[in-house]
Amino acid sequence: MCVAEGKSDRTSPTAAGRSVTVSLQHVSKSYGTQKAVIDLSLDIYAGEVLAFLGPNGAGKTTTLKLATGLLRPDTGGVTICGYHLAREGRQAKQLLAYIPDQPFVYDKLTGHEFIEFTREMYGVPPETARERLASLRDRLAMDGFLDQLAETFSHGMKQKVALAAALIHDPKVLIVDEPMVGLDPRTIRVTKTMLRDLAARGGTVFMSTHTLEIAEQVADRLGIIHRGRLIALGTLAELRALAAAGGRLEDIFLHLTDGRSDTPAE
Amino acid sequence: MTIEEPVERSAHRAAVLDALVLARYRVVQWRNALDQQLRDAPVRTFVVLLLLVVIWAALYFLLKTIFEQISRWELVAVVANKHIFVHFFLVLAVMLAFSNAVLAFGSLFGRDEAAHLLSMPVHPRQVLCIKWLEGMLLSSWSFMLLGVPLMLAVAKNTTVAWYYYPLFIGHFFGFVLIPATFGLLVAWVVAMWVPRRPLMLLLWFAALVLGVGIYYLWSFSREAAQAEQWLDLLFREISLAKNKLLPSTWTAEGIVAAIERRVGDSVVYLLVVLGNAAFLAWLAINVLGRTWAEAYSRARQGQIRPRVRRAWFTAGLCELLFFYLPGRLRHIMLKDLRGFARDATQWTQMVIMLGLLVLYATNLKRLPVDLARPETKTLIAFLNLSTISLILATFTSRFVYPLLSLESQQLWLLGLLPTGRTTLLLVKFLFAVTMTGLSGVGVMALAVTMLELPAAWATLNTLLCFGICVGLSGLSVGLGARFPVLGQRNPARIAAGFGGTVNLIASMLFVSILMTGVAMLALAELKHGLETLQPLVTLTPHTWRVAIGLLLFSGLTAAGALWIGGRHFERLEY
Repeated sequence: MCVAEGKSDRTSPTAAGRSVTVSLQHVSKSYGTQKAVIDLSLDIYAGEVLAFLGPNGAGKTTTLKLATGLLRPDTGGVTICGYHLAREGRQAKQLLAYIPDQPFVYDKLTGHEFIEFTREMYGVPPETARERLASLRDRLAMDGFLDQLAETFSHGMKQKVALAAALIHDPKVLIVDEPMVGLDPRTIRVTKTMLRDLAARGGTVFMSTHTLEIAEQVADRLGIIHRGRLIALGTLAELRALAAAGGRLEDIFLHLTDGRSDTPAE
Repeated sequence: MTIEEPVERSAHRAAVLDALVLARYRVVQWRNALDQQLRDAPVRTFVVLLLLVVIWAALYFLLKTIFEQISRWELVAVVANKHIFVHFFLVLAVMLAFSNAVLAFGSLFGRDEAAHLLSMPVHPRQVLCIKWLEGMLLSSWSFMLLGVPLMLAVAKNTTVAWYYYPLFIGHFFGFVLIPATFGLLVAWVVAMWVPRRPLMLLLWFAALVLGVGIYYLWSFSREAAQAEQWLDLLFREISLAKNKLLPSTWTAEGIVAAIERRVGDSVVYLLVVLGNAAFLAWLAINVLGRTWAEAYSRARQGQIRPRVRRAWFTAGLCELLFFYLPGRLRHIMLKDLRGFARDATQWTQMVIMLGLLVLYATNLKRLPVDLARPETKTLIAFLNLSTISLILATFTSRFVYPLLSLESQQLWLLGLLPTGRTTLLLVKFLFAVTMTGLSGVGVMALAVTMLELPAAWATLNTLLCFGICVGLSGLSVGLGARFPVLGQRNPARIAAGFGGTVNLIASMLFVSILMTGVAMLALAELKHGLETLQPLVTLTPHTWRVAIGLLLFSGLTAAGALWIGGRHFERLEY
C-alpha cells in the first residue's frame, strides 16, 4: 500500500498530538473464497473526516461494517476510542453511530418515535435531546413528515431521519455509508456542514462515497480501496503527489484504480 | 464546544432499560399498525377477523365430530384420546419449531433491524429476551386456532371438571415454549455453522421430517388387512411417539390427567414442562446472547451467492413449454420461470405437496378397500380430484397470485416494453396454466392409471383437472391484477393480504362448485352404469354435456377474473 504522509491542503488536523478514535489493524475479511478486505490497517483521528473511495465491490461497505462491529474480521482487530470492538462492544458502540447505505427506520414508527427510541437506547436525557432535535429538525427540514409513519417515507426522508437519530446522542464517531444519496441539494449542503461541525467539535466521521466532489469538499483525508486493499491514504494534495496526476480527484482516483487517467472528450 | 461524554448507567439498570425500551416501542409499532389498519381498511380487517372465526368454528366442529366418533368405540376411546393428544402435540412441536426457526433466523440474522440493533450499545440478552417473547406471541396463534377448539371439543364429549380449562391452557402455553425455543437454537446453529443457504437447509430438513412421517404411516398401512388388525397395528406403531422423554408426551399425559380429574398428576406434568421450558429458554438466551454478534457476522458472510452458471436448462425448458408464443413473450416467460426455479421456497413447497400426492397415487393399490368395485373407484377418483384441486388452489393462491404484485417495483420496465398490458396479463396466465397443468394433470393421470379407471372416465377426470387448473390460474392472475400489493417483495405477505385472502376464498368456492358438479355427475353416471351393468365404461351424453358445462364454467371463471383484473391493470400507474 502506498500512503502519502505530509502536509494537507486545508487547515486539517495532522497525526501529531491527536487521539486515534477508530483503528483497524491488519484487518482481513473473506466471504468464502472471495476476499473482500485484505490486510487493511487504518487509523482515524479525533476531529477528522475521512472519506473512503473505491470502485464497486472494492470493499468499502465491508470495511465500514467491520468498523461498526457488524462483521467480525477474520484477522486483526478494530478499536473505537480505545475499546476493542469484539471484547468491549457495548462500550465502543455507546460512542458510535452508524448509518448504512439503506437507512433503517421501523416502518410502523413515526420519524419522531424512531428518534425517541434511539435517544432512549443511548440514554440521552430528554431535555438535552429536545434541544438537539429542535435544531436537527430545523436544519434538515423534517417538519413536514416527522410525525408520519416511516413506511411512507422516500429514501431521502429516511436518510434525514436516520441522520437525526444518529446525531441525537452526539456520537464521538459517526460511520456513514453513502450519506448524500437521495438528498436534495439543500440537504446535501446542510449534511456536509453537519459532518464538518461534528469534526470541528472533536468527533470523527468515517464515510464512504461515490461522489468525488463531496469527498473533495468534506474530507480531511481520503482513502482509496481497490480489490480489498487500501491503495492510497492521505489528503488531496498528498494523493495528487502520489498519483503524479494533477487536477481533480476523479483523475487521481481513476489513475490509482485503473492505472491510467482518461480525460473525457469535450 | 466539544462532544459531551456519554451518559453512564449502571450495568443492571442499563440492561433492564434496554428491554423495557424495546418492548415499549414494539407495542407502539403494533398500536400504530392496528390504528392504520382500522383507519385505512376497516372492512378488510372485519372480513379477515370473520374468516378467522369461520376457520376456528370449522376446526371446532371437525374435532368435535372426531371425538364423537371415537367415543362410540367405547373400549378404545380412552386410549385413542391419549394417542390423539400425543400426536397432536408432536406434530405441533415440529411445526412450531420449524416456523420459529425460520422466523428467528430472519429476525436475528437476516433483517435490517438486526444490524441496526447490533450497531447500538444494547445488551444482546435483553434483545433476545424480547425476540423470544415475540416468538411466543407468534406461536400463540396455535393456541387460538388449534388449542381452543381442541379444548372445547374434548369438553363437549367428556364430563370435565372446572380445573380442566386452566390446566389445559397452562399445559398448552407451557408446551409451545419448548419448540419455539428449540427453533431459536436451530436458527443459531444454522447461522454459526451452516450459514450458506439457510432457508434451503431448513426446507430440506422439513422435507426429511415429512419423508420420515410418510414412511412411518406407510409402513403400518401396508400390513393391515382387517379393520381390527389395522387399528391394533396402528396403536402399536404410533406408540413410538409416546416416548417418555418427549415434551409432547408430558403435555398429553398432563391434559389426559386433567380430563380424568387427576389434578395432582396434571400439575406434576405441567411443572415438568415448565421447568424444562425455563431451562431451555435460559440456555438459549444466554448462548445466543454471548454469540449473537459473531453469529450475525457468520450469517452475513454466508449470504454471498455463488455465480449462477448459464441457465441453459430453464432456457431449454422455456423453449419447449412455450414454443407457441412469439420470442419476445417467451423471454418474459423465461424471466418468470427463472424466478420460480431460483426461489427455493416456491418450488420446494410445490415438490413437497405434489410429492405427497405422487406417493399416495403410487400406493393406491395398497389401500385396504376393494378397488374392483365401481362405487369405490368412483369415490376414490372423486377424492383424488378434490385433493388435487384443493392443493392447486393453495398453490395458485400462494405463488400465482403474487406474480403481478412482485412486478410492481419494475412495472415501468415491463410497461415500457412494446407489449400491451393485457398481453402481459395473458403471459402470466399462460405461465400459471402451464405449471399447474403439468403438475396437476400429471398427478391426475398417474392416479387414474393406478386406479385402472376405464378410458372414458379417466379422460373425463383428466380433462376436469385441466379445467380446474385453467379456472384457478385465471382467478389468481386476475385477482392478482385487481388487488395488487405494490412495493412488496415478500410473496408470502402479498398472499396473506386482503386480495390474497379474497383469492383464496374465491378459489375454494370455485373448487367447491366444480366438485359439487363432479359429484352429481359421478353419482348419476354410477347409477346409470349399475342399471346397464357397465359402470363407467361408456359415459352417457348427459355426462358429457355436464362435463362440458363444467369446463365452460372454468373457462368463464378464468376469463371473467382476467377481464376484471385486466381493466384495473390497464389503469395502473407506474
